[in-house]
Amino acid sequence: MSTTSTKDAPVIQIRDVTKIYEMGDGTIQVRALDGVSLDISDGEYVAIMGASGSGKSTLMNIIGCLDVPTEGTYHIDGQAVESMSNDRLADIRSRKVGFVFQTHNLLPRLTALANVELPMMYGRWPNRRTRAEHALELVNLADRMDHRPTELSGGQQQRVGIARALVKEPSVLLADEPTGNLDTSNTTEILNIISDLNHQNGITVIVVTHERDVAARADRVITLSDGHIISDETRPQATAA
Amino acid sequence: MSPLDIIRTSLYSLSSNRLRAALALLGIVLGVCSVITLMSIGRGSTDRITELIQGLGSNLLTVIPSGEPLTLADVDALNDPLYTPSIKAVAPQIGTFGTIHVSNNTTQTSITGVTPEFLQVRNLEMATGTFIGSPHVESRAEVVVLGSQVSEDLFGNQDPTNAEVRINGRQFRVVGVLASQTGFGSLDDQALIPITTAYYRLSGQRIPGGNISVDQISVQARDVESVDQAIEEIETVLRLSHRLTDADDFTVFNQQEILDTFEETNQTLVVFLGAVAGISLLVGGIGIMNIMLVSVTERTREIGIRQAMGAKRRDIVAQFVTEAVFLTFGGGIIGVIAGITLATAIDGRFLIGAEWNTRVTNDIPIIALIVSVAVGLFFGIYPAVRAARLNPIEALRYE
Repeated sequence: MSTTSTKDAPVIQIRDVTKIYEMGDGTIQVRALDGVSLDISDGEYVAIMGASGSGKSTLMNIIGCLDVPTEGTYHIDGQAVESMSNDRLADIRSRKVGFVFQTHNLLPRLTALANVELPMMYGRWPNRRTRAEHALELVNLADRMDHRPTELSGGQQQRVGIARALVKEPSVLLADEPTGNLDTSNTTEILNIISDLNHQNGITVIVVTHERDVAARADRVITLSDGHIISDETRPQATAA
Repeated sequence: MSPLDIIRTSLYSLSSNRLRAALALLGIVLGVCSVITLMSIGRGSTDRITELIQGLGSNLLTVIPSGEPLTLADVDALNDPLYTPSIKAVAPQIGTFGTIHVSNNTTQTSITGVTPEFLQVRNLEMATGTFIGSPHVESRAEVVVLGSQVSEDLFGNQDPTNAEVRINGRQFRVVGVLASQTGFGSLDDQALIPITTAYYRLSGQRIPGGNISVDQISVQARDVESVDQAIEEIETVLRLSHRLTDADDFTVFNQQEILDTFEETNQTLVVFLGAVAGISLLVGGIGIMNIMLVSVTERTREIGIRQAMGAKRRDIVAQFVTEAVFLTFGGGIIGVIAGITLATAIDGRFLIGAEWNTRVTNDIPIIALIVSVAVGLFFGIYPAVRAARLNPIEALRYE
């Protein structure tokens, strides 16, 4: 996987990150994150929990390079993100981050295969079709490649979303409430796939969720409240399960 | 993002709302179509007027008397190559009206007395027979050359050569028929006889001194460039032979001047028509911008997804500008086809009380296509930049 980083260096390194949003005309300041520090190593399976308004979405946006911190530093794969231009951020997103969204966010008129090819298009990757086919096979959708999202079930759509996120072999798979819109059986299926990707393929996974049973799958659970990390528990026994 | 991907992505987006794309396209189609049609009409009418005037020969000068009569002596003086090196041919004429009669048919027409040079000076061609020759002029022969319409009126489809006709009661022999001509001052409805015959046999007026007076003298300059020189030579020779010291007693008309005036007027018309049509193209462009702005708002979430997938600002700009250019270029192509079809369809037809002449030149469609692409670029950039400036987080949250 991430050959650029040395073995010990964390994939994600967050130091004293503060994010302040200015509301209205700058008169009200909201501290969404307040001095957060966090390291995530290669191959970890991390869940980020917290109530709504706790700052977990903001943290996810920063980890996903969709946003930059107001203060503090953030390195992904050793690269400092906090001072990057919009285009450099887009570049990092296209190479390092695989997003899985709650509302899968597939383009409705593209086939599953074309949706999975999409991120590679912006990175100008070679062999896009083969890679996309392979990614869809990994999520057991080899027989649904030419279907459009509307022709797929909710669980299948989310599997396409996962294939799209992992196709470019990202440094981190970032899933925001990946099962939020799914029923119990589909939830189990999606969580199994994510666990397999982590355990068998060694992909670093960060799941943002407010559901305990989703977080229970992870090796490490980080809980946020009011912009602070209030707990960070690692459960080594989960790896064996 | 490779150019092929940009094109593919734009086509994908356009195909997602076909009706809207088609309606936006329609504005450009109508704009380009009207530009092409109106410009073709402009060009066509310029051609028509030029053709009419050039039918007379653009190096043709006309001298008419404005005091003393012009005579055959003046014609001889103008024919002297020593004094008039820029003049190629001189053709005097006398005009009169007459009745031509053959068996049961009678027609009223203008009878013009001419010399053999008339054929060359007026660019005439014979349909059958021969033109009036020098021996005819010298012997005041009673021979006639008929215009094509006169020939048809009197003889139908028969060849009238060597037939006898009566002009104002005198017997004339038909020696030839002119080929039909279009244009200004067509001679189809005229009959030509030797100038001497016209003077002595048909015309009532005489001038003292035994000279033959003529109504006008057509002068053919050597070429278009020597027209000005020829005018000077005509004036010098005629002032000498008329022994003038003050104002001229004749007037020289320059065909080229008339032509230039017409062309200038028409050029203004073409530009005006083009500008009017250009406004409709501009309106079409604003329509494209409107559609693109709506499309950006509607596809906010799609833009957010693409940004999250790693699309740079320039990728988003490229996608939306390409979409706009596709619309205008597609509209341009359809408009060019429609415009050429329309222009060709009305060419030479009689509509709304006028004859329409159009000419489609290669440059008009090419310019129209370039302009329509430019319209797409111009009106596509603002919506595209708005799309690219969206914040990915907000765009992803957009419902």
